[in-house]
Amino acid sequence: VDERTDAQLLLASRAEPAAFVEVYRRHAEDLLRYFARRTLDPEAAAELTAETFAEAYASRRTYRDTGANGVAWLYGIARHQLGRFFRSGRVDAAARRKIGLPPTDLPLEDYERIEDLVDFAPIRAALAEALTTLPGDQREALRLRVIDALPYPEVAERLHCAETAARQRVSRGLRRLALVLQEEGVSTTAEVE
Amino acid sequence: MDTEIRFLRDLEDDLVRLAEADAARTVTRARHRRHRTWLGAVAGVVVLAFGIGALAGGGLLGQQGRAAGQASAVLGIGGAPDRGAPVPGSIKALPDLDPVPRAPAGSGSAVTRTPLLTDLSKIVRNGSIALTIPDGSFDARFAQVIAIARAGRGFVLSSQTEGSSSGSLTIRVPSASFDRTLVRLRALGVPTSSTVTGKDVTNQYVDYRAHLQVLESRRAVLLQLMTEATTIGETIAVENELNDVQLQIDQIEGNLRFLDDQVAKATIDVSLTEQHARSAVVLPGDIENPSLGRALQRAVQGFLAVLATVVVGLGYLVPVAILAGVALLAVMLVRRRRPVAT
Repeated sequence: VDERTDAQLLLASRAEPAAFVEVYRRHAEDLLRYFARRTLDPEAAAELTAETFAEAYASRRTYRDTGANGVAWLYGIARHQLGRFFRSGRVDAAARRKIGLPPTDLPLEDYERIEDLVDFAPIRAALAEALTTLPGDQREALRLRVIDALPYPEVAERLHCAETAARQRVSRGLRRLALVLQEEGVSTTAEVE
Repeated sequence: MDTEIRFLRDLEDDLVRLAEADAARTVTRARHRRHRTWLGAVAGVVVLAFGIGALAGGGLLGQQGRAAGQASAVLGIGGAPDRGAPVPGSIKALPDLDPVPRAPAGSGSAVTRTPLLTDLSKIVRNGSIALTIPDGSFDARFAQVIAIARAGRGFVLSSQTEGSSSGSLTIRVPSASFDRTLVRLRALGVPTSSTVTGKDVTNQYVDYRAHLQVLESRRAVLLQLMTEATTIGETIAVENELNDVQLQIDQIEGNLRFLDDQVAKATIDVSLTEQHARSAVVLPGDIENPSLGRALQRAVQGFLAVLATVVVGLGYLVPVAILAGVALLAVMLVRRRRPVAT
């Protein structure tokens, strides 16, 4: 186990790129949860996580140890990525292209695991109200998946479509929902970062 | 990584591969940086050696440069004036062009030229001088050259002009006024090249004189035989022989007269070029056409000259480097011992 602090690892990663991987191991899941709770979209959350680490890797030589833990620097990049996502409605891939990180699709089994990272309880009421703004197919998919908390195979059966299509509808609906909630100033997270 | 989310595990694998590739690149870059540092150091030493070598005037570069300067000056293609060249009017700066040693003034025990040496020394002297003159002064300077030749009891053998800004003259002056004439010519402008040559023809002259004496004796004998001839056959034979001897005498006397004339009068080639004249005058005898062979030869000479200069510079640097190494070693030893002593 590497006992160096995040700041030490980030500084060391200039000459020893492998040290950055240790930072990733420590904070990747937390960062994914951070994005998932704000975007409500597993695909967007995964992409934002990858882009944030790519950006951090590409600019690790500019990191300066100011006394704060290195993770603050990482979340600074994450906030920047999230702001761009909410402004443009899509996840940028410039940093991943810059460092040569290959694009990866989110595996099917990861959708539910990432959704599990999101605690919908605090926003359930706001969600129900925002659902009325969504198109019919996405609204129905979200109602079955989020409000009724049904598993994807059952959601697909009720919607009379394939499981992949059901996931896509839920994913798109959540992304749109997150944008609506963001515009209305409703926080999708219980804690404050 | 301990997570159930496959996406994060895949991303970790990608980052590990990326980090390994970057680490390999970092090592390669560091190696290249080291190589560049060494190359830079070697280049620095070579440049330093070249500079020192050039300052020390070593190698062929100095000679080459001087030779090139002279050549370009003779060809009139620019280049610095030769080092001995004075500014117009500063006659005192001229080197002594008289090849015969002179006695110091006022010295009672001075070595003087013996009459024998004066009579027997037959030296043919030639000179050439290329002058850069102010713009618009060509006609005046051309006339001055003629006047200088006449003042020295000489004459203009030939002349050639190109446009109204450059030209050349060949003048002949008595040897006695050769040096004085050259001094006056130099004062007409800025000399860009100047050469003086002397050819000793004394041996040749003495040989001709000796041969002439023999032939004259033989002619006297033949004339005596002619008066004593009794038959027509004898008379014809002696006369034929006499004709041959007389012919040889005439040839040798002609050669002696030519040598006397060459010794008595010196030839000076004068080239005048206005400062901003478009084309330079080529002195008689110089080669005007460029040659690839000569260019190649000069290139090789230049390469060798630079190499030689660097070698000379290294000769200066090596002892300095040894001294610096010894000093550095001493400092290191002192520093290493200091903690032990304390």
